[in-house]
Amino acid sequence: MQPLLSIRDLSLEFNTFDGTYQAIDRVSLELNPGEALGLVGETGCGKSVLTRAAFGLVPTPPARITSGSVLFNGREILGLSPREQRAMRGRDVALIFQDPMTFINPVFKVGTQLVDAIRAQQLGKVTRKEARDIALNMLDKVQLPNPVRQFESYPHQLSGGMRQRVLIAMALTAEPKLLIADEPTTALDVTIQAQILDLIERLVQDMGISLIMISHDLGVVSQVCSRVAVMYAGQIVEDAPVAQIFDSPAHPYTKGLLAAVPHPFRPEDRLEGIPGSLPNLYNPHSGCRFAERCPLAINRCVEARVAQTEVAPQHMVACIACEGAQIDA
Amino acid sequence: MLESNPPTPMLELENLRVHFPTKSAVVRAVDDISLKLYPGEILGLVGESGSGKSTVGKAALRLIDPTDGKIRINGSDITDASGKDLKPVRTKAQLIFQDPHSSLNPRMTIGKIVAEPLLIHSQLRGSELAETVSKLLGRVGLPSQFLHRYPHELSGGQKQRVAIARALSVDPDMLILDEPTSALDVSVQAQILEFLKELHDERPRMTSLFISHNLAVVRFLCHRIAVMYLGRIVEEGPVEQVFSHPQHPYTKALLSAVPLPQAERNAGRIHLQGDLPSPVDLPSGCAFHPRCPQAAAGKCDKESPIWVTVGASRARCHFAGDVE
Repeated sequence: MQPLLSIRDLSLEFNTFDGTYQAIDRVSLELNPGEALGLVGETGCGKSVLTRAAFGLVPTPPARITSGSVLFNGREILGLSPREQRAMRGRDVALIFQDPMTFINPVFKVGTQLVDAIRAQQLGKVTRKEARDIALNMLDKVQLPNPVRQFESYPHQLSGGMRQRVLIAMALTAEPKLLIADEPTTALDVTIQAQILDLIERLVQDMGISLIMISHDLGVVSQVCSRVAVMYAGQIVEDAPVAQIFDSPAHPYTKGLLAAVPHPFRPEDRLEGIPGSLPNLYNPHSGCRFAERCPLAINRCVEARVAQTEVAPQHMVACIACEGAQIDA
Repeated sequence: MLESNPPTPMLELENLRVHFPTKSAVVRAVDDISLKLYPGEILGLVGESGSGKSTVGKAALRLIDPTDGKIRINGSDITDASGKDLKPVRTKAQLIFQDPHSSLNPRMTIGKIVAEPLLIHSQLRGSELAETVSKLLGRVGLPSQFLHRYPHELSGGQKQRVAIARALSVDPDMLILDEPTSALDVSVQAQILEFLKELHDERPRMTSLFISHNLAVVRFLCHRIAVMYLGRIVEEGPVEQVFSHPQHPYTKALLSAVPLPQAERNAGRIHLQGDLPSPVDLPSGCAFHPRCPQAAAGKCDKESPIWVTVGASRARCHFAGDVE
């Protein structure tokens, strides 16, 4: 099967006054059609920049892609003209973000914005009237209460959960092949979060859309995704089916992350934080960027790039300590 | 925590109400809340945004004046205390906020920030003051080089440690922590939670009101939990009991909505319909009835439920204690 998205050896740096910040370091990632992948990591690990850079949403300069390729549906999309990129976004790839208010225009009615978005996606081939029907149909699909009334509402009249539903409707009307959801529920309360996660899961399954869900919350990702990639400081350290990540994490960083999360029904006596802080990415060494905080680090960790090892079927780990190891699934 | 003859509560709220009048209506942010915190206890106050939990925290220290009700700290009534009378209260109880970036003055060095409460509340000056400040920084795990740095030079976790050091400077018996780890990454959150736990182990009289929307964090740190919905407490009890046998349908829904690792996901999630109603226009009867999967017409929409005690906890629901 040809992967829908194939990122190979992508590196990206930012030119700043303080020097060159190496945000993404030779990241490779594949996504098959219909797959739901979670991209997990803490603040500043590069999870948002990675997906945005792949689809031309990181301004260059200050950013510069120094190596790698991004194949979408078999076609190289790095280096496409802005016009070609824009045509692809919205129709083939849709994005939704953490704070819907930032991505909805506060001075236009919800309906107007949906109609405009749909007409842009269809390159003006539909009339306003047709676009309105498509929009109302989609608002119904995202279970927005009272779609006809909300069509005439302004964004500030909607609650956070309702705004996120509008954004999801806007993203999915063109029936994209890929949906990128960047922390879509972080700003919401847990009961609303549960509603939105269920909605995303159901819609991507029904419509056969592939999903990349970016989150700092392993629990959220496990609700919706079948595979998880864990990022640390611009590198992917582990990539595995979701059950493998929780049952037999292999990378010391993944283990640390899991040990730091309190469990609501199995209280721990103590939580293990991960001592230390993110490394300086202005002049990083070429090895594993977690080495400075890693309990298992040896000299070889920082000397050269750490290759990925397959420790179980589809379970890839970039860690020297895991080389040659096998985990029973 | 409780003995047969309960000691004086460190914090006691009695029928506390905080209403905010607006042009057109009154927002009933906190509506008839009674709470007792005993020395040594950590009480988790949970609820969704807009439930009034932060208002309770601020009103408890008179940062917001209550509309009605009583506030007692260590037995003394501070409901109507004047500014001057409140000064000694501030040495007993301190607040820590969610976003350490906005609660630390960006133009003051860390040393000055931590020293400020001591300049107001103690006689310490000069080298004695400097020594105390370094000790406080050491206590929260920050090296003394940080004394001369500014807040923007610190990471989120380090800034929250500074806020904790500042709160501890006056040697309080009570901390009110308003979402202290919500802005932090999980690996840093774990360190701060561990630190708070240690602090309580070290000081048996230390009492905390821990305001949070994160149930897992409350389960880890707190002894008791109180669940708020639309300005009221709907359930209260020891964490073990509330987590294993929640009585109120809202608590049940909240617990079932916590995202868990996939292996354990199957335990049927309860779906709440719709959003939190407006605190201006509270639903009749039980405020939760429009979203409640168990609501009975003619009862829940008419009568306000009273407290029902079940074991060591209690809930405000007509059906609390019923065998399902």
